[in-house]
Amino acid sequence: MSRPLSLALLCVSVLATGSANAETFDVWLKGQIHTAVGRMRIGISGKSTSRQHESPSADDRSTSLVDQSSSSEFVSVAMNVISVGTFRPAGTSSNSSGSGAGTTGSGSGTVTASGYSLLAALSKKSMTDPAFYAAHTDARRIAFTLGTAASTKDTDNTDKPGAVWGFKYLVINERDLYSKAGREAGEDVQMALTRAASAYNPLLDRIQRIIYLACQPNGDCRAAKEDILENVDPDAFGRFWLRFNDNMAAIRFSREVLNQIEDLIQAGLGPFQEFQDIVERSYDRIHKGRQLALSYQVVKRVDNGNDDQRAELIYDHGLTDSITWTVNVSGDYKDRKMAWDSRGGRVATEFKGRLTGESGAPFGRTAMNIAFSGEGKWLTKTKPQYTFQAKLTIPVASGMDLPIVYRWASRRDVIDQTASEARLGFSIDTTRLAQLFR
Amino acid sequence: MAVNSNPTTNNPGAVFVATGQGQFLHFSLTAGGPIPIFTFTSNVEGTLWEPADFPGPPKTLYEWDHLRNLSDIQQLELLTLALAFFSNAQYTYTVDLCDRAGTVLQTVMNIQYTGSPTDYTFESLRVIIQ
Repeated sequence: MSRPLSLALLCVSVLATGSANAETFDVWLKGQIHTAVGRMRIGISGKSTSRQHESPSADDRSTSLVDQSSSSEFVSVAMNVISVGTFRPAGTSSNSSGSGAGTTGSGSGTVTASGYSLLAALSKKSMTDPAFYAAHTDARRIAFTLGTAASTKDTDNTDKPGAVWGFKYLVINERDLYSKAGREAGEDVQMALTRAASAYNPLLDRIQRIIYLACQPNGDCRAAKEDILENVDPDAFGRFWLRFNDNMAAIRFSREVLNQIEDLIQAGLGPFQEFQDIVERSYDRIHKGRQLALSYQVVKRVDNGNDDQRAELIYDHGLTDSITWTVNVSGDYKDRKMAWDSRGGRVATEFKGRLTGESGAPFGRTAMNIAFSGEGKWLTKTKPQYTFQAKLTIPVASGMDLPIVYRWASRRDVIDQTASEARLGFSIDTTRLAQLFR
Repeated sequence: MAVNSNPTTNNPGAVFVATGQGQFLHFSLTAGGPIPIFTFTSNVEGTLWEPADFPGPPKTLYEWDHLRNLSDIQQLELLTLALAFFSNAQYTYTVDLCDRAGTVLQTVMNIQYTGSPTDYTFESLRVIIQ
């Protein structure tokens, strides 16, 4: 950075500091370093966009067309509350009954619990206990889902709700802080922080001495003679900083003092730049880590209702800080008790992007995100089906999300007609929600 | 997101400690988890404390004393706590001035911090030996 430019930034920062009387010397100095490093902040994403809180895709009423590799770390509840509108091509009519369209159905919902949450409950431990969390990384790889799926006569051969159950196992998990990648990233950040702190102390010491020697007790400053920096009276020095430490705006810096400070900061920037590089690289390493999961989901229906089974491979990968790409490949089996069974497969993909920043609080609100997904399903005894979906997920409170979905299908199951509809869901991450009431 | 600090007792910048009368400083750092990352350094002695110096898994409370040993006593020593929010979003840092018996004479500072994963912050305190 050129000297005039960096000096201008320093002055702007000093002036900005002037409006914040409560700012301490540490905050002020860090602001100077921050400006000089030209740090680009990146948003929080401790709460990964690759976590699925909605019902699994095997439930036709789910707001998820594509399954994510990881579920909630704790317990989540998903309700596929309502279909807010079904749109049909002109001239066609619905032949379904009850709640309306074939793919419509309310009352569907699931509960997903991680193995970790069950272990914590059995051990009577808090799920957020750091020691317990650290010791049971592998228990967070597995998740179990139970719930109900609404049924309709034309697609499921019964209108009685089906029982949903399933499990998911995370084979590759590069995003957990206690995974090998996570531990290495944390160690790198710790080492870089220690180096930055070691550089910070002498820098702060020298700048405080310069300001003390250059500035009068009333805050007016001239140039400081650097050859006498060591000659300060401890008592007077202490009292000076008791007065100005949280009142940096009261110091009226001269250009000479600003030049001296700027030279020191420029000369000592290395460890701070290095820390910033390492923390961002480590963050990316965790955030863009690969995840591969195996999943099995079943919807069992009573009487002569059709059963649906799905064995699935789920892969997701962070493309950028805010975009996650997910692919599903599954083998599907529809067990029709009154007709020929259908067997086949399905390929689906999704791009999910974060639209807003997230709360910095550990159990704070997640980001609003948008996802576009597509699915191709090929089953024997039926024609191929292609489905596309757009989903906006709105965090209404910490632990509570409202997914709004628009879905279009080339044809509905067993019926040769296109269908599109809007859906509304509701998902709760019980542990995040519980933190609100602590 | 910038680090948000919420002080109950502001950092005064300097603390007067009568080490001759047995006064010392007691530091405590609480962390919500899962993995706190911090370094406590002195401009005289270098790095004094890191999480690895506390045996066992990550903790919710870290505590240490300073100036209890004669060898620690250095005029104008600068003590800095550096905090990274990479894997721990909330910290509370408290410094107490204690007498020889360990009774708290004064809370020098008490500050709660919240930050996002790429944030870090420093909190420094100058020790003036009386």
